[in-house]
Amino acid sequence: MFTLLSEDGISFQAERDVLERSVLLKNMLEDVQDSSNSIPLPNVASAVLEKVLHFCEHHRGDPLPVPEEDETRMRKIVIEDWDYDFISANCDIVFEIIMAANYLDIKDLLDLGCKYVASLIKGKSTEQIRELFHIVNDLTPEEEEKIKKENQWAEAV
Amino acid sequence: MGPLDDLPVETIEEILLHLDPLDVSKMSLTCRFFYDVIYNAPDQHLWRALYLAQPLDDPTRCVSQNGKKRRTEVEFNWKAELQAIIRARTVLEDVSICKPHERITILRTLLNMVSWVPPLNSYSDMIDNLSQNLLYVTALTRGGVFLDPEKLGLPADDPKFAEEEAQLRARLHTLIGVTPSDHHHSAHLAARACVYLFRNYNWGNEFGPFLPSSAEGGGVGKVNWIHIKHIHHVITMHLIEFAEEGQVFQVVIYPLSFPYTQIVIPDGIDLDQEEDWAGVNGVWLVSFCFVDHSLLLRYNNIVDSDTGEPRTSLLTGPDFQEMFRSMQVTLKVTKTREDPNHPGRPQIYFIGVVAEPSTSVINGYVCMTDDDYIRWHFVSGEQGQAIWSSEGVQIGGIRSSYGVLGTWTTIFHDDDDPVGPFWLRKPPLAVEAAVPVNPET
Repeated sequence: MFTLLSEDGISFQAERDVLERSVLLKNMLEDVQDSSNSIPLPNVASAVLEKVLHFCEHHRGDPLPVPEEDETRMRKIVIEDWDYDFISANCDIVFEIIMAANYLDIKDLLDLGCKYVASLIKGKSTEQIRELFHIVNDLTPEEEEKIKKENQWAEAV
Repeated sequence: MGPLDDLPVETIEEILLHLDPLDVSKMSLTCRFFYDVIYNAPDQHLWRALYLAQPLDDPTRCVSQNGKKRRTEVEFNWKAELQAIIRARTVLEDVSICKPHERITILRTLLNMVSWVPPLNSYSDMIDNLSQNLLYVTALTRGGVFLDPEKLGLPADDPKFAEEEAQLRARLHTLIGVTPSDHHHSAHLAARACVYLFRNYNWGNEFGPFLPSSAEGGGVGKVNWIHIKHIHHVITMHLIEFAEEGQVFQVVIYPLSFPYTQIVIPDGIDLDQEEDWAGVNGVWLVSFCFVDHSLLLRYNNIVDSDTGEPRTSLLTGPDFQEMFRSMQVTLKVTKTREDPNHPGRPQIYFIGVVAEPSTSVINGYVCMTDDDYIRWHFVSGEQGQAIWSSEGVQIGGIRSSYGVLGTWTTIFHDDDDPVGPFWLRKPPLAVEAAVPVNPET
């Protein structure tokens, strides 16, 4: 058992094969045999860490995703049921989860988060996307006109 | 939902790569930050990744129809290419939005996609290395979208582009195969009326499916794709069952359709060094059509060697008969001659013998046309007497299994010479049957 310490000082216990879903932690634990010291994670809040560990626990023992020959080719857009339920139940902190997955280097969780956010954007109008993510439109009318022109290829007219 | 733009740029790009390019466009309009991520990156890595995320061939693996690689000094413009493809997709999903002046651009985009594909090793390699571009365009144009006049529903374009547009459309149509309007009786008639019209064969087009050269000195300039499309149709009528009027159209995959246009470059062959770059050597199957000569004369309405208006009604009905014959012929390259206009693609001369019981011999050449298509010319006859003269064009990529479509007539070029279409191809080891494919899948 190892102990992780979240940003807000809460400790979590987990076994090695759960933590090794994270490439960062895997490397850190390589030379560590005992669990006497807790590992501080100053970038991850407890609410997020709890979810991240929940994900890692579910996927413990799964083969780690291997980088494909060319990562850009033909992305699989299928999200498995458990993963979908997990990420949509935590949609209010999906960006925090993505950030944590990025920091801890948990490829399948990062991938899941990106796919989920993409699925929210799909088919929405610019205005709907702004509303969804509270994006403030900081473009002047002139700039907006220019960008619209640049995007003419994508217009359905 | 938290602030999306707090995420690292690489993560935002990762999210964008899961989106359709149309959604990416919407994102770029939300605010300056996303606009900059999408349009103001220092290089094209995002657009490259977006392009490669589509079900398209990797352009770095593609060659032109003539087997040429892209010039490495000219970088592939991932952004512009992807935008053009997505625009074509949008228009083909709803042709009513197409602007008249845009039609030629869309046709060029589609033709560009099907002309640049990864080469196959052999015909049988198609199962593993089928071009994604060919599948993509087949799916987009399924049911004749953008090809059949009744499915266009577009305002007339500037007449100065009409001829060019018709040529591009006919070329795409020939490559794709049959469309719903091909099943109409009027399409059968139009194809026969073109192919069997004496007037369409003259010194200007060298008695083949070509357009007269505009250059001084005449000769053939370019391929006449409208003529080729009609040849394709006449041959096709002997290969597949056309649906009856009113029946549901099904996309048919058969040897004169996608994806049989895919270029074939056998392993270890450098086409620029290979004398027989066109793959002339070997066994071919030649099929040709002909109609009764007196019918041909009556259709062409020749009276005292003056031609009147053709009597198209003679080319239909229960009395109309058109023969379809196939024979095997073995061709052998005899020599080549450099073509200064086409380095690495010399003119190939060949001879051939027709399989028993025929005693025919063939001789001819293969060369590149002004507009970079592969032209076949050959003369054949019995017992050393040349009689027949044929002119054809390789369809699709070099050595594609689709083969050569063209027309035959006699070497005498008299006003009342018989004419007809032919199809020459290397028969694949296993004969592929026509497979109907549900257009919805």
